[in-house]
Amino acid sequence: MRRRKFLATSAGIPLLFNQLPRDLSSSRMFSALSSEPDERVLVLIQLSGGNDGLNTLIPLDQYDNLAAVRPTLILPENSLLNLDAERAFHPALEGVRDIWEAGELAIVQDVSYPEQNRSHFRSTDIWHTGSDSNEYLPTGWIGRTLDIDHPTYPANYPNPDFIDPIAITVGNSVSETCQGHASNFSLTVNNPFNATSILEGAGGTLPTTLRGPELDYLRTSVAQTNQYSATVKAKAEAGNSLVDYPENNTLATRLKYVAQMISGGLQSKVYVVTLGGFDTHGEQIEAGDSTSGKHAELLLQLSEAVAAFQADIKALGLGERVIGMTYSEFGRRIRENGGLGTDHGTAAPMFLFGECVNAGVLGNNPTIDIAVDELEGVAMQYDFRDVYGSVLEDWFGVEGTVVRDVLHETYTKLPIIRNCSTIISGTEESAFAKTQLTLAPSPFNNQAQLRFTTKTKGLVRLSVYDVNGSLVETLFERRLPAGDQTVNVDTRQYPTGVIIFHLQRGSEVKVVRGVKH
Amino acid sequence: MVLTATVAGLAPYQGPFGQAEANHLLRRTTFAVTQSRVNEAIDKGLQGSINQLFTASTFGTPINVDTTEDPNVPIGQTWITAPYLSDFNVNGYRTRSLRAFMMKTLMNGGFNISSRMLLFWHNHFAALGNIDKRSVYNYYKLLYDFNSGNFKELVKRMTIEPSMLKFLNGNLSKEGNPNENYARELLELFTLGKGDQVASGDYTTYTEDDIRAIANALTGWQTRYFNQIDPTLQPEAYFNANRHDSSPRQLSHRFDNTMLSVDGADAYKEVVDTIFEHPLAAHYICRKLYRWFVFYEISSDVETNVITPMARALVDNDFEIEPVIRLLLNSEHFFDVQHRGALIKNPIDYIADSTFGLGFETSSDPLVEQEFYVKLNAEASEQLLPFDNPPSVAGYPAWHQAPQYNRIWINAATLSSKTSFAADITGRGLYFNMGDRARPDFIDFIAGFDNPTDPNDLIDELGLRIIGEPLATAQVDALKEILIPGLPDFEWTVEYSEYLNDPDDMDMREAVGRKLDAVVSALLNSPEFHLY
Repeated sequence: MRRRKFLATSAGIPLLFNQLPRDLSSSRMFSALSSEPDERVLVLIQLSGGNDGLNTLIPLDQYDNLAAVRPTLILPENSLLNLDAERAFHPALEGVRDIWEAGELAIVQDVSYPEQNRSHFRSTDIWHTGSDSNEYLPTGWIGRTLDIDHPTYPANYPNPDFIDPIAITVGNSVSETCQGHASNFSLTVNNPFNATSILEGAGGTLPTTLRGPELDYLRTSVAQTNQYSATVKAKAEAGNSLVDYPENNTLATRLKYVAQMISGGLQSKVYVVTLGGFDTHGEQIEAGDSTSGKHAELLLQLSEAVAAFQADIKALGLGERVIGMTYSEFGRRIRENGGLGTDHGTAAPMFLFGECVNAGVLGNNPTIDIAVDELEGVAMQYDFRDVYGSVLEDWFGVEGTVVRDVLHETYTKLPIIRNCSTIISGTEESAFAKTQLTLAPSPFNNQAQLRFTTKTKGLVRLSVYDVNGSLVETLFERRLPAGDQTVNVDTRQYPTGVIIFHLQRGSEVKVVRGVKH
Repeated sequence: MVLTATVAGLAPYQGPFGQAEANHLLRRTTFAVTQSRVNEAIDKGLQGSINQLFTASTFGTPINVDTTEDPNVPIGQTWITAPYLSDFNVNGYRTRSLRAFMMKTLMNGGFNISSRMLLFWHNHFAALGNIDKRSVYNYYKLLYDFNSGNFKELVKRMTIEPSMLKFLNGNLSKEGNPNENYARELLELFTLGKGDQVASGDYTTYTEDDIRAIANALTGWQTRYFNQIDPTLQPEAYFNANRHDSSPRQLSHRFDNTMLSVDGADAYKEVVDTIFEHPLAAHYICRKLYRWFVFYEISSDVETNVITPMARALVDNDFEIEPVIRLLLNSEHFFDVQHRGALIKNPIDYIADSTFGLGFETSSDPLVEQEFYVKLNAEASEQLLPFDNPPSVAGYPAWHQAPQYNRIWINAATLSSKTSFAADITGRGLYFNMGDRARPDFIDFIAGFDNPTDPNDLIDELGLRIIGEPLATAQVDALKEILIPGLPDFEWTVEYSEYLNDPDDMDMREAVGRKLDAVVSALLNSPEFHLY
């Protein structure tokens, strides 16, 4: 296991809290400014099970091919909600479409991680920890960032500087995203209006056996729960909600609680909610009607809940303080599975919403080949950690160097947060000329040639993936001059079958698919 | 934390087998441990106790206690083979009946390991789904009856178990469109576990291609006769050769490039046999058993000195589970004081300990009894263990999610549920079924104590029975302050003796009872009570 730089010293001795390297001693995510009321909040919405991105955001320019590989799942063209000429939403996403039309929705196309591992549990762990796929991290991506500012947590929390829980999971179990090195930063809140006081026991010395740390964990949890629950209840009661939320929609109820807690002045920075059921191997649609079924119901719940929440946040005057972000452990296969469903795939779009997101679509439509391999998922365009990192940097103001330490060395900032107030987002000029990345010949044997054009000089990375979404190799990462580029690739070592070439310059990605014989 | 040099291994435990050891053994292997069970174990000795744990036990049958609309199932009869009805939805009463039955089976399994193993297998093969309750009952019965039988055989049975075929879509898998859901979980969650990804689609223990090959081999299995009103038709699995892919299936180097050659209805047996030939076939399940019975952290010492010998024993016994559990329970390692009382309770333990563990007895009225267990099922659900509805096929996160494991049972929401539950148990009573009320009687509970008239002995014994470990001095002092605030010890002796002299004096009984309620309440709320 490769440990993160700031979690261990080079000698392998556990790092003491007061020995944090100076440049990492503050992530600024929870600096002294935290007690200011105009703090920024991130609402994470986990779509658990692996959301079918191709049935969520439909590439209109690929519609016929998609219909060919998904003959039963394909949504009728006249049922779709068009965003523009190239893309449309599933008909259940009217609420999300309204957010799009208000200019408050950013879509990042085809997000995944290199070396896709199609296990729910491993994939979820990767998304929660923000690890490499061959790395096991014990902490979540939010938790690891919070550790920098709160190295002694949970000892002496809450305290006068941090009265409120650092993060909140609305539901019954804590979110792994908020797992810090010593404890989970999120308080589990089922209903913020219920607060029970728990007896704290008589204390006493901890046993020196394995019982000691467990007992300590229990004592701390009890004490903290008591202190935090009372605070959360008081703030939620002081809060408000100004719109109607859909009924019989647990996600909506939970998001309403979030709105009430934020508007009541709770200073928690991250709220996590979950909608489960996206593992649609079977009965994704109802036989004979692709617009209804399990997936349609889930998208409807999501859409109505998110639309009500965003309307509420705006009505409460919190529009510039709150953004939301959806994620799921993987997308699904391109080809349907013959059982009215889809199996575990690779990439899927992420949605960010709020007044301060950089509205629009980042990335290109995936290419659907009618000869698509049955193993093939949608190829990755963006690394999920680039999305996380951009949120940390542009929304929470965490330094880029810190983001690189928390997430990964090759982190690239994406223009997904708008210059809403103080923190400036570095949006970039388009680096590639309109011409697509092209591959010849296709299919290829031992050699292939790639062509593309760069408009300006800059750092370009060219990587190769196989049919499972696994990284085959990174061909290069170097500064290229402006102009036409030709790359000859030795493909002898590549596995036969589908090969994806992935070209990235900053936030811009081009993907081309080929087949090796 | 300072770690000792080497952990105790699986050498037989030679030390004394008294209160502490019997208590540890019973709490890790049975539910709702009472002092009389501990005494029984001490009498039997370690070997006798282990033998007792593995005596045969029978899975009962859930009965209809509350519905007159099902003409096939009169009140007092079971519905486990009864058909569905065209004009009445039988799922309502059958769900209540089954949930109550499962809670009863788990919490009242007595001096026997079967209930603990039922929960283990339910978490391991976490099938779920709102399907024909007859099929769900059959699934639980399979798990219970196997309890510590042959793991390889259980995997075979589970592969074609109707509930599992439906839950992991095996019933949709057919030639040309193999559904790999079951094949993936068979390798990842049920048998080998997923190793590190060392190359594209290669997870050390198996590869993506193996998942495909196995999914192909398992095609053709379907389910039928769910929710039928024809009394001759029971939900079942069957093999449909027309949907079976009979093309050759080559496994990867992770399985020595084995070619699966058996075709047709027996192909699944060859698949399972081949998986169990894998050099690591025994390790994954042994780790899981270790986490279940001992502790969630597995150090490299434990891996070498405990897991590896367990795995070897499992292979030597052709995957019979019982000899391996016996080996573990009989070992120095199991009784090492290091991990005694170090596991955080799951909700079934928490609820069973705070009801039946305190001597609570259910009503003899079957309807009231059912509603009580339905209430306990709902409580378990609030505390993160929705018994027949695990959050995913991996089971309940506290039993697989690193690094927190058992700590996942404890958070602000579950603590607050547990607190309300304990307050009801020791206060107004646990209400259920519109007005019925359950409440243990603590005066009865202490009647069998060694010396309940002495407040120090009383508190010591309450602590030992409720917490399972001797109390620290600070706790004893705090509890005494609750029992006899600011009063000399003899005041308790006087009051309790007065009650004993005139047990029909309800005022006296009430007064003594309230003091005990307060002490038990403090114990149930103490952080120590969450450990076992």
